[in-house]
Amino acid sequence: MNQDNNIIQVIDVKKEFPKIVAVNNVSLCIKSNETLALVGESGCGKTTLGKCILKLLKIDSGKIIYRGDPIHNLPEVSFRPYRKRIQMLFQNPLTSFNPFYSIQASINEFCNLNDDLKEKGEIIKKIKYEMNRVGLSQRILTSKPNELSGGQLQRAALVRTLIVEPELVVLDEPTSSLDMSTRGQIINLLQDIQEQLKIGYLIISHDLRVIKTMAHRVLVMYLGEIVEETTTKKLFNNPFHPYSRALLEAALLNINENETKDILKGEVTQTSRNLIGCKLAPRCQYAKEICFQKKQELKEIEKDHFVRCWRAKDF
Amino acid sequence: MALLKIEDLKLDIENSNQNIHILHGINLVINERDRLGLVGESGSGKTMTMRTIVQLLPKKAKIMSGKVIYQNQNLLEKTEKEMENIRGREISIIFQDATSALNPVYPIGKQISDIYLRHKGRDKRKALEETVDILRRVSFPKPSESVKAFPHELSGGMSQRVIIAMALMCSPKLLIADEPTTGLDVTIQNQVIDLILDVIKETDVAFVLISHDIGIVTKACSKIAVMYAGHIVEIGTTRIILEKALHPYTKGLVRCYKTILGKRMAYIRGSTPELTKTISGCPFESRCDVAMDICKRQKPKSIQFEKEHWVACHKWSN
Repeated sequence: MNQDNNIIQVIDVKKEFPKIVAVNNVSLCIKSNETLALVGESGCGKTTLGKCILKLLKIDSGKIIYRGDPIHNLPEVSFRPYRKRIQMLFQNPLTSFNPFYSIQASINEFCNLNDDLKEKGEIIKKIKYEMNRVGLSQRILTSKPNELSGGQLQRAALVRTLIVEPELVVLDEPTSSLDMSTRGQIINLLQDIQEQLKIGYLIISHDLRVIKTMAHRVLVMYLGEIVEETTTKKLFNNPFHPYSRALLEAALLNINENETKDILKGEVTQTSRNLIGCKLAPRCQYAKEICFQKKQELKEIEKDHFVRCWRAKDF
Repeated sequence: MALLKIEDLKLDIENSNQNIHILHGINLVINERDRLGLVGESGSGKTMTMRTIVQLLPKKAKIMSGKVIYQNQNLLEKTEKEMENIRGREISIIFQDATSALNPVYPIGKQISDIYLRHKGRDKRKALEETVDILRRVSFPKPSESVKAFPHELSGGMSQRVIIAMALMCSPKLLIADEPTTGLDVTIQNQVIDLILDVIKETDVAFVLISHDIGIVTKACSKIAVMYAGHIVEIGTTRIILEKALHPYTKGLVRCYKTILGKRMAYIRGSTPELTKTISGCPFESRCDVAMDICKRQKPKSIQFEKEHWVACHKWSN
């Protein structure tokens, strides 16, 4: 693997909350011009991991390395310069803008992060340039967030994210508050921007349609652990882990097909979080004794396809 | 046979400056034993249409015209007292957010049996028996013990089961489910839909599913009505809507759901029209690729294209 190309490397990161291990020894790396997807249901730790990378949460153990520099232990003041390199686009743009500020004022605050943007004329020029890139008219700069549609607001949030020229953007459910017909506009825009700027994306989503079009690689998470890691193509054509298969099945990607198989039963419970073996075992219809007793490591079962399941080879 | 008929329903929300037009003349027939899906984006008026039926509208909502005919009676002329006898007994609703639809300070058993006591009789022991029975029907684990459980002790999926149990307690003739699976995990969503379908299979209740997710609607419904900006633009069987849709909006929406690996995502250009404006032509005109002159000036009428297929589009009017 070409180490120089990695924007960020996450090594064995663990994050615990009282009673819950939210992220359990997760490792990943993201290269420039690459989109890595984190998939899983609510509570599986995908957003927590995203926040850890942005240092919005402090990790308990492990390492986060940005371009060779470990950043997980830095105090806030020394982390500041990195903050403009790693940005986040939040789920709900309506709550990520200050309702009393105009869009212009909200974006201006971000410009202070960028050292090159000190002069007022420069700032306005740059904002206009980025607005043009995301396809927004400049009229909206004076608007307040509540006067804009969800799609417009998400574009404005994107302007704010891009204005500091980040290398990595964490996209936390970027389209879940948008309508189906406008969702594609934002996704295509994000792909265009990646092509132009060669930035890396970490996309956190449970919308498999978005993942399927956007991501290059996918990590499937279940209760804080990675259960499957592979390329998008391999995951959608040939998923191994029962949980990945259940997710693909549940997403009804093929809407012409009415037949769905019930792979999982029951729901996530507190007890399944504390299991020694596979955390999916109580819900999995393929579970055997070994699944409850012993933990399987993430194993490469074919080239570039890692799965954490004792029975992966049996299907 | 028609169970419920909505005729030319127009609804506005009153605002200090100008009225917001939510529904622009909805015509819809729900037959007995129907499995109807109502699909549309947020703000298209699907929830308001269904809330009008049971008269659970926000205070500022004002019905401008129209009728809701149920058993030869116009529900819009009923008093609140009369409506109370209909809600829960004749027509039930399953709401979107199960946890907020339950009262946090009462055990679930009491909340379910209250519905029995309101509509069916005063025998408390009978009410409890029925409660346990309905909980068993919605596959609640240990029904006789969980009647004492409080809503906060239940997961999202379990709370939704309680709501389904409440809705079916008095075996209604019409069951409306308003986005019953949003807020639930994807693997639980299927369980909930399967459960609703399973429970109503033995009864002859008509079922209306409101959702923005075509995937779920195609799985659960035999007929789909597509709404856009307060208009119903197309009605057809599930197969027709998926494969032979005529309205450009329906076509676009279906395309947005079909994703192909390595291909870009489909979308419909532009965004939904502002609801404060009066729409004189076709509501979809500004986003439509095949719009003609007439689309700006005149509202398309709904025409029957073939058996079980209605469309409101000028392109197909002739």
